Amino acid sequence: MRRECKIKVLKGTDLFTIEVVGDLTASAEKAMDDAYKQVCDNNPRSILLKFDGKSRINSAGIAIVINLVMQRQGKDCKIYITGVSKHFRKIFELVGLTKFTTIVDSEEEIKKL
Amino acid sequence: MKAKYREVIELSVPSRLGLEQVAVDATAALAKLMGFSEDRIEDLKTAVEEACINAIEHGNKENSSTKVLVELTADEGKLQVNIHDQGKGVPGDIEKPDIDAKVAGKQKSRGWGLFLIQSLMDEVEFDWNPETGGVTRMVINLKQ
Repeated sequence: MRRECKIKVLKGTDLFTIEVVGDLTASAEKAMDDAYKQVCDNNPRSILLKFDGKSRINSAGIAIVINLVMQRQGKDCKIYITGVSKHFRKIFELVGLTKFTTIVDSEEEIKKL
Repeated sequence: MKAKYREVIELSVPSRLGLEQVAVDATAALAKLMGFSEDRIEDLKTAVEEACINAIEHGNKENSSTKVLVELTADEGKLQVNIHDQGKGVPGDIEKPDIDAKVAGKQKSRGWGLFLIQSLMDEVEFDWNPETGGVTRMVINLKQ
């Protein structure tokens, strides 16, 4: 069954993290919008969307990720995604989100990029 | 379960978002019994979830007095999933989702459901009958 989505914002200096625990679906839209506002108000150079490794993401969840990409377009901000399963990596590639985001295996990998 | 026999399972799900997971879990359980790989079961779960959400949201307009009927047919080498709603079916002029257009704000960010179903399943068909409503038929083959 679906897992409730809990969202937390972790503020860094250059990298801001939006931690997503649970499934990303339409019911998380308001909470994610609030998280985006918190993050984007700081005009970060990079944002990490950190899923918990078991998160299911449906088409409404994909739209929520696209909303973040839209908000950061033209603002010299890199968006990284981590903690997604092999299946949802494939889904992100299928819809083309990997043109606008970078999927990494771990937070540490960002430092090496 | 080796699908030497044709088995049909039917589920009737009230049109309430969240309950599509019942159909997703049932379909995944059957696919596992049939011997589908974990990767293909994940594809199937996404496709069934999207088709059920479409049936609940767009077909039945989230009217909880209506039902989504899910028919699972395990046949030799394939699983067919038919998802029926009681609504007006899929409009013929649905815009193909385009990530560039969505990011540029030229398309709504939502609207990926049909694309995902068509991308992940081996056969897909959408149909509408004014008397019985809309149906999404999809087939996933055991061996591609």
